[in-house]
Amino acid sequence: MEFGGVYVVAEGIPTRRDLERAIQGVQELWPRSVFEAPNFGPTPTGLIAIPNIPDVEEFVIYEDMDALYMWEDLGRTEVNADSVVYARLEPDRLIFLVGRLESSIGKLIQALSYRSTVRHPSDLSSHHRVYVDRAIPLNGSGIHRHVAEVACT
Amino acid sequence: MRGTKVEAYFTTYAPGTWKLSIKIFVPKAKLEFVFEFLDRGDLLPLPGGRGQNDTIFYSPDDYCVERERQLVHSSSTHWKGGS
Repeated sequence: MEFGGVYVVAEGIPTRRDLERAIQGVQELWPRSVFEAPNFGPTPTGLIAIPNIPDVEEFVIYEDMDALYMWEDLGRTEVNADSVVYARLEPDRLIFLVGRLESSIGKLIQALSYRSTVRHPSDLSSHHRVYVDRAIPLNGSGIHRHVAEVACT
Repeated sequence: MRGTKVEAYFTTYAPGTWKLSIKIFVPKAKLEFVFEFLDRGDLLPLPGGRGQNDTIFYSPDDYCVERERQLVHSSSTHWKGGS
Protein backbone atom coordinates (compact mmCIF):
# COMPACT_ATOMS: atom_id res chain seq x y z
CA MET A 1 0.00 0.00 0.00
CA GLU A 2 1.33 3.39 -0.84
CA PHE A 3 0.79 6.10 1.65
CA GLY A 4 0.57 9.69 0.56
CA GLY A 5 -0.39 13.02 1.95
CA VAL A 6 1.38 15.53 4.13
CA TYR A 7 0.56 16.27 7.72
CA VAL A 8 0.65 19.83 8.93
CA VAL A 9 0.58 19.77 12.69
CA ALA A 10 -0.16 23.01 14.48
CA GLU A 11 1.32 22.41 17.88
CA GLY A 12 -0.20 23.91 20.97
CA ILE A 13 -3.70 23.99 22.34
CA PRO A 14 -6.01 24.65 19.39
CA THR A 15 -8.53 27.37 19.89
CA ARG A 16 -11.83 27.86 18.18
CA ARG A 17 -10.31 30.89 16.50
CA ASP A 18 -7.63 28.67 14.93
CA LEU A 19 -10.33 26.46 13.52
CA GLU A 20 -12.42 29.34 12.25
CA ARG A 21 -9.39 30.89 10.62
CA ALA A 22 -8.56 27.66 8.83
CA ILE A 23 -12.09 27.17 7.56
CA GLN A 24 -12.34 30.75 6.41
CA GLY A 25 -9.02 30.48 4.64
CA VAL A 26 -10.07 27.34 2.80
CA GLN A 27 -13.35 28.96 1.88
CA GLU A 28 -11.55 31.92 0.35
CA LEU A 29 -9.33 29.64 -1.68
CA TRP A 30 -12.16 27.30 -2.62
CA PRO A 31 -15.35 29.39 -2.93
CA ARG A 32 -17.43 26.30 -3.75
CA SER A 33 -15.98 24.17 -0.99
CA VAL A 34 -18.04 21.62 0.89
CA PHE A 35 -17.72 20.89 4.61
CA GLU A 36 -18.46 17.45 6.04
CA ALA A 37 -18.08 15.97 9.49
CA PRO A 38 -19.37 12.85 11.22
CA ASN A 39 -23.09 13.34 11.74
CA PHE A 40 -22.93 16.55 9.72
CA GLY A 41 -23.77 15.99 6.08
CA PRO A 42 -22.04 17.72 3.19
CA THR A 43 -22.78 21.42 3.36
CA PRO A 44 -21.41 24.27 1.28
CA THR A 45 -18.80 25.84 3.50
CA GLY A 46 -20.10 29.27 2.64
CA LEU A 47 -23.45 28.44 4.18
CA ILE A 48 -22.01 27.53 7.54
CA ALA A 49 -22.10 30.29 10.07
CA ILE A 50 -18.50 30.05 11.15
CA PRO A 51 -19.08 30.85 14.82
CA ASN A 52 -21.66 28.08 14.88
CA ILE A 53 -19.67 25.32 13.26
CA PRO A 54 -20.44 22.10 15.01
CA ASP A 55 -18.26 20.86 17.79
CA VAL A 56 -16.35 18.18 15.98
CA GLU A 57 -13.15 16.30 16.48
CA GLU A 58 -12.58 15.79 12.78
CA PHE A 59 -13.89 17.06 9.47
CA VAL A 60 -13.10 17.26 5.79
CA ILE A 61 -13.43 20.09 3.32
CA TYR A 62 -13.64 19.29 -0.37
CA GLU A 63 -12.83 21.78 -3.09
CA ASP A 64 -16.34 21.38 -4.51
CA MET A 65 -19.06 18.80 -4.94
CA ASP A 66 -17.25 17.19 -7.87
CA ALA A 67 -14.29 16.57 -5.62
CA LEU A 68 -16.57 15.06 -2.99
CA TYR A 69 -18.12 12.68 -5.52
CA MET A 70 -14.74 11.62 -6.84
CA TRP A 71 -13.37 10.91 -3.38
CA GLU A 72 -16.52 9.03 -2.43
CA ASP A 73 -16.41 6.90 -5.56
CA LEU A 74 -12.72 6.36 -6.12
CA GLY A 75 -10.75 7.53 -3.12
CA ARG A 76 -7.44 9.07 -4.06
CA THR A 77 -6.71 9.25 -7.79
CA GLU A 78 -3.99 10.75 -9.94
CA VAL A 79 -5.80 14.06 -10.05
CA ASN A 80 -7.69 14.67 -6.83
CA ALA A 81 -5.08 14.58 -4.08
CA ASP A 82 -5.15 18.35 -3.75
CA SER A 83 -8.91 18.69 -3.64
CA VAL A 84 -9.50 17.77 -0.02
CA VAL A 85 -8.32 18.74 3.43
CA TYR A 86 -8.79 16.47 6.42
CA ALA A 87 -8.57 18.08 9.83
CA ARG A 88 -8.53 16.69 13.32
CA LEU A 89 -8.60 18.51 16.62
CA GLU A 90 -6.70 17.05 19.51
CA PRO A 91 -6.17 18.45 23.00
CA ASP A 92 -2.73 19.76 22.23
CA ARG A 93 -2.64 20.16 18.48
CA LEU A 94 -4.59 20.75 15.32
CA ILE A 95 -3.76 18.36 12.52
CA PHE A 96 -4.33 18.84 8.80
CA LEU A 97 -3.75 16.30 6.08
CA VAL A 98 -3.27 17.64 2.56
CA GLY A 99 -2.11 16.06 -0.67
CA ARG A 100 0.95 18.16 -1.33
CA LEU A 101 2.53 21.07 0.45
CA GLU A 102 3.36 22.61 -2.91
CA SER A 103 -0.30 22.89 -3.78
CA SER A 104 -2.29 26.02 -3.11
CA ILE A 105 -4.21 24.35 -0.33
CA GLY A 106 -1.03 22.94 1.14
CA LYS A 107 0.56 26.36 1.24
CA LEU A 108 -2.58 27.85 2.71
CA ILE A 109 -2.84 25.32 5.51
CA GLN A 110 0.86 25.61 6.12
CA ALA A 111 0.52 29.36 6.48
CA LEU A 112 -2.56 29.14 8.65
CA SER A 113 -0.91 26.70 10.99
CA TYR A 114 1.55 29.08 12.49
CA ARG A 115 4.08 27.44 14.78
CA SER A 116 3.50 24.18 12.97
CA THR A 117 5.38 21.04 12.21
CA VAL A 118 5.18 19.67 8.71
CA ARG A 119 5.78 16.03 8.09
CA HIS A 120 5.58 13.87 5.05
CA PRO A 121 4.87 10.50 6.58
CA SER A 122 6.72 8.55 3.93
CA ASP A 123 9.77 10.74 3.88
CA LEU A 124 11.13 9.90 7.27
CA SER A 125 14.58 11.30 6.75
CA SER A 126 13.73 14.84 5.78
CA HIS A 127 11.43 16.22 8.42
CA HIS A 128 11.55 19.91 8.64
CA ARG A 129 9.86 22.38 10.85
CA VAL A 130 7.97 25.30 9.45
CA TYR A 131 7.28 28.40 11.42
CA VAL A 132 5.09 31.30 10.57
CA ASP A 133 5.80 34.18 12.83
CA ARG A 134 2.36 35.62 13.18
CA ALA A 135 -1.24 35.23 12.28
CA ILE A 136 -1.70 35.90 8.61
CA PRO A 137 -4.52 37.91 7.11
CA LEU A 138 -5.77 36.20 4.02
CA ASN A 139 -7.28 37.88 1.05
CA GLY A 140 -7.22 36.28 -2.36
CA SER A 141 -3.97 36.97 -4.10
CA GLY A 142 -2.29 37.79 -0.82
CA ILE A 143 -1.97 34.14 -0.01
CA HIS A 144 1.17 33.53 -2.04
CA ARG A 145 2.86 36.67 -0.85
CA HIS A 146 2.34 35.66 2.75
CA VAL A 147 3.37 32.10 2.19
CA ALA A 148 6.72 33.43 1.07
CA GLU A 149 7.20 34.52 4.66
CA VAL A 150 7.16 30.96 5.89
CA ALA A 151 10.60 30.08 7.19
CA CYS A 152 11.85 26.53 6.96
CA THR A 153 14.57 25.40 9.30
CA MET B 1 2.38 9.99 -5.43
CA ARG B 2 5.59 11.93 -5.65
CA GLY B 3 8.00 11.28 -2.84
CA THR B 4 6.22 8.17 -1.66
CA LYS B 5 8.53 5.38 -0.72
CA VAL B 6 7.62 1.82 -1.55
CA GLU B 7 7.20 0.29 1.86
CA ALA B 8 4.63 -1.87 3.59
CA TYR B 9 2.04 0.21 5.42
CA PHE B 10 -0.45 -0.90 8.05
CA THR B 11 -3.24 0.75 9.92
CA THR B 12 -5.30 0.10 13.00
CA TYR B 13 -8.23 1.90 11.41
CA ALA B 14 -11.13 -0.49 10.89
CA PRO B 15 -12.56 -0.85 7.37
CA GLY B 16 -15.65 1.13 8.32
CA THR B 17 -13.74 4.13 9.61
CA TRP B 18 -15.21 7.44 8.58
CA LYS B 19 -13.38 8.79 5.49
CA LEU B 20 -10.81 6.04 5.61
CA SER B 21 -9.57 6.63 2.06
CA ILE B 22 -8.84 10.24 2.94
CA LYS B 23 -7.22 9.44 6.26
CA ILE B 24 -4.75 7.08 4.67
CA PHE B 25 -4.85 8.74 1.24
CA VAL B 26 -5.34 5.68 -0.92
CA PRO B 27 -7.62 4.74 -3.81
CA LYS B 28 -10.84 3.01 -2.84
CA ALA B 29 -9.68 -0.02 -4.79
CA LYS B 30 -6.96 -0.58 -2.22
CA LEU B 31 -9.54 -0.78 0.53
CA GLU B 32 -11.40 -3.66 -1.00
CA PHE B 33 -9.83 -6.35 1.14
CA VAL B 34 -8.62 -6.49 4.71
CA PHE B 35 -5.99 -8.70 6.29
CA GLU B 36 -5.94 -8.63 10.06
CA PHE B 37 -3.19 -10.04 12.20
CA LEU B 38 -1.80 -9.93 15.71
CA ASP B 39 0.78 -7.24 16.23
CA ARG B 40 4.06 -8.16 17.86
CA GLY B 41 5.26 -4.61 18.27
CA ASP B 42 7.85 -4.60 15.53
CA LEU B 43 6.14 -2.21 13.12
CA LEU B 44 7.29 1.36 13.13
CA PRO B 45 4.76 4.13 13.72
CA LEU B 46 4.73 6.92 11.20
CA PRO B 47 5.82 10.13 12.86
CA GLY B 48 3.52 13.10 13.25
CA GLY B 49 -0.18 13.48 12.83
CA ARG B 50 -1.47 10.17 14.09
CA GLY B 51 -2.73 11.55 17.33
CA GLN B 52 -2.05 10.22 20.73
CA ASN B 53 -2.75 6.68 19.61
CA ASP B 54 -0.71 5.62 16.63
CA THR B 55 -2.87 4.46 13.78
CA ILE B 56 -0.51 4.05 10.84
CA PHE B 57 2.62 1.94 10.83
CA TYR B 58 5.16 0.84 8.28
CA SER B 59 7.85 -1.68 7.59
CA PRO B 60 10.77 -0.62 5.41
CA ASP B 61 11.13 -4.19 4.19
CA ASP B 62 8.85 -7.05 3.29
CA TYR B 63 6.84 -8.04 6.33
CA CYS B 64 6.14 -11.67 7.10
CA VAL B 65 3.05 -12.59 9.12
CA GLU B 66 3.35 -16.11 10.44
CA ARG B 67 0.28 -18.30 10.25
CA GLU B 68 -0.30 -18.23 14.00
CA ARG B 69 -0.67 -14.44 13.94
CA GLN B 70 -3.13 -14.35 11.07
CA LEU B 71 -6.68 -13.53 12.13
CA VAL B 72 -9.01 -12.42 9.36
CA HIS B 73 -8.73 -12.00 5.65
CA SER B 74 -11.87 -11.03 3.80
CA SER B 75 -13.47 -8.38 1.71
CA SER B 76 -13.81 -5.16 3.68
CA THR B 77 -17.58 -5.21 3.38
CA HIS B 78 -17.73 -8.59 5.09
CA TRP B 79 -15.13 -7.80 7.71
CA LYS B 80 -16.18 -8.84 11.20
CA GLY B 81 -12.81 -8.55 12.80
CA GLY B 82 -11.57 -6.26 15.49
CA SER B 83 -10.52 -9.02 17.83
